[in-house]
Amino acid sequence: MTYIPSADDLEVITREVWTSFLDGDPGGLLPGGDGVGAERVTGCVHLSGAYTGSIVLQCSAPAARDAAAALFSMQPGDVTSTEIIDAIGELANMVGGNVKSMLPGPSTLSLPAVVHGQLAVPGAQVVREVTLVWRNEPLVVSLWQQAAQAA
Amino acid sequence: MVIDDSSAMRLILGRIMRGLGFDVVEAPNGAEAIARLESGSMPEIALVDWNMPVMDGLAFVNAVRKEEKWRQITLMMVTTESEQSQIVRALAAGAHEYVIKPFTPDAIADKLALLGVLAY
Amino acid sequence: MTISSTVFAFVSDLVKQQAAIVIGPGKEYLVESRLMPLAREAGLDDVASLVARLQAHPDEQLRRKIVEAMTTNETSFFRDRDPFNALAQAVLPDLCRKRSSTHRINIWSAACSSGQEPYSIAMSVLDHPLITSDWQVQVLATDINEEMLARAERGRFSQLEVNRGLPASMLVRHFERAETDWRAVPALRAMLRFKSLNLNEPFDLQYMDVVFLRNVLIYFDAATKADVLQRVRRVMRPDGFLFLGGSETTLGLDDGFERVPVGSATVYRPRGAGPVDLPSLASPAVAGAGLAMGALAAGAHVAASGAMGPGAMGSGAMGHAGSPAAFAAGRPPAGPATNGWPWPPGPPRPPGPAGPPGSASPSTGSASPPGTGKPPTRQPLN
Repeated sequence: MTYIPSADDLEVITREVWTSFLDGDPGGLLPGGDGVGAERVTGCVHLSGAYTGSIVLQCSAPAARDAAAALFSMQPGDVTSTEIIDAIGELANMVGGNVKSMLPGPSTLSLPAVVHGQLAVPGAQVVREVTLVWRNEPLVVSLWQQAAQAA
Repeated sequence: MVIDDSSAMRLILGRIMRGLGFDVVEAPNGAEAIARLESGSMPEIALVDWNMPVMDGLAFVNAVRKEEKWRQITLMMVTTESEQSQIVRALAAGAHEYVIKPFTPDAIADKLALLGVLAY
Repeated sequence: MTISSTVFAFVSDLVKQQAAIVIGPGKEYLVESRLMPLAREAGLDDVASLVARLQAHPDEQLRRKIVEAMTTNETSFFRDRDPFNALAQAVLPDLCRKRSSTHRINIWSAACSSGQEPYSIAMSVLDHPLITSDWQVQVLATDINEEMLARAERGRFSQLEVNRGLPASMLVRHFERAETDWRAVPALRAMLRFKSLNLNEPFDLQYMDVVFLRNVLIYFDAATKADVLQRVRRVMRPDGFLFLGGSETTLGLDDGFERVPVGSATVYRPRGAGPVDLPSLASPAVAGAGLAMGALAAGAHVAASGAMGPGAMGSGAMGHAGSPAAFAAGRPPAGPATNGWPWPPGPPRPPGPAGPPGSASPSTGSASPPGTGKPPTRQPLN
């Protein structure tokens, strides 16, 4: 049976990305919390090939703003939606790229897409999910798989 | 030279490299980077993403290593591609070093010191 | 609350002085987050008060705690590089000659922490062209901290850890992916033994040819430092080699050692050890060893081809190394020509006026004699 990254793996990967680019220290990202509310920012990358699915990053709007501020060394108040899109897209790309390296290959990684709100991927289901908290804001990372492939 | 299709990543790497004392030129993909080189840009080192549209990082490395005139350019891949086989492919194509994303500024500085590009 | 620049300066000076680690500007938040727990532990409100307390009452323990808190996660593979190049380019060749009757070399990493140091040593040995399969080289890794020791013994490093100081070619040769980590391959792991050891207490070890005692003496007072050095010397062969940390010295502590510059590194040897058997500069196999060529498979075909530059590839200086198979077989990718002796190899040099680049053997004429200090860098190839 091929190895699919576990929820722990998702957490480790996300923490490595957060430590490197946002926090400087691994202690900033904590497991738990209640997940994202209705108002959220979603970044995703899609995989196709040996594995077909998506890696999706969801966080609250304040978290997205703080992430952009940290990534670009800006004041949160100066962050515009351009920075948020760039930041969440890049974070999704990095988490997704690392998840891809643990999945059966070869697969290609799409460019990231970012949306304000909830994402739906027709035909796909969540196979792994981890709920985290960053600076008191929710962050959810999930791995989706195309149902046709999962069968 | 920082070659990455993500403006966020170009910004981050640019910042790190300027902090280390380099002047930085950017390109959003391998093809534009080649165009820059053709028009006379001669960087000491190029930080190269893998997955980019038009011409990806591996193709860029291959293209640069084919040319005598670009022999002196150090090529360092900076990418999320972290499978063993991918790293081997990149090194075999002639990349001199490889940094896996995510990275810290220290990681970049360490690699540059290894390459002798940065006098530590 | 962000700390003031004076507080930050104090902490970064202290850490630089005590551990030879530089905390760059912009890292105030790191100082805040790492030292706040210590401040609370001391019953204080903030980091500024913690620093004020240390300034008012010099306290060895508190100082050590602060340095430790700031320097965890700061370790890397091949830390400081020079010692490992000295190991590959001078120490191992010398020992290969001196131990030719026993074909045994014992190396001790005396404060191995999370393991980057002993694994770096082991990789240097495995990649060394002179250490062939008939040699028995053992690396003993010890630490007082059992948790760290267990971690080191597992031989698993995170993506962030392998990004630090480890040449990519060594990564792919000596490690394999294991979930989110990289794990030492059995051949690497087999070189290492791990043992709990408190340097402050008597220790009984077999005789060591090389000792790495780096950045651990800083935690001891002068009397303890002297005592540890003396006891370390007693388990060293009379012609052995000791590596200390960048800012450390035996001077004034143990008269039984003498300081020997080797390339850009400083090595300490028991007094009376005699000259270091440095390889001739014309020996390209060794001259290119160490981090410069540590990436490559060990020497048989390298020594045979006679030159380390890309020109040695025979397929010409131009063009790339070709297939991954060729790479895995150990042929160097066509790349910047490297120096001979000593490290660092310097940046890729522009092709010389005559002939393809890299066809010349590593610079011999332009290299300064060993032990005279500054290595030649950025010298023209011809």
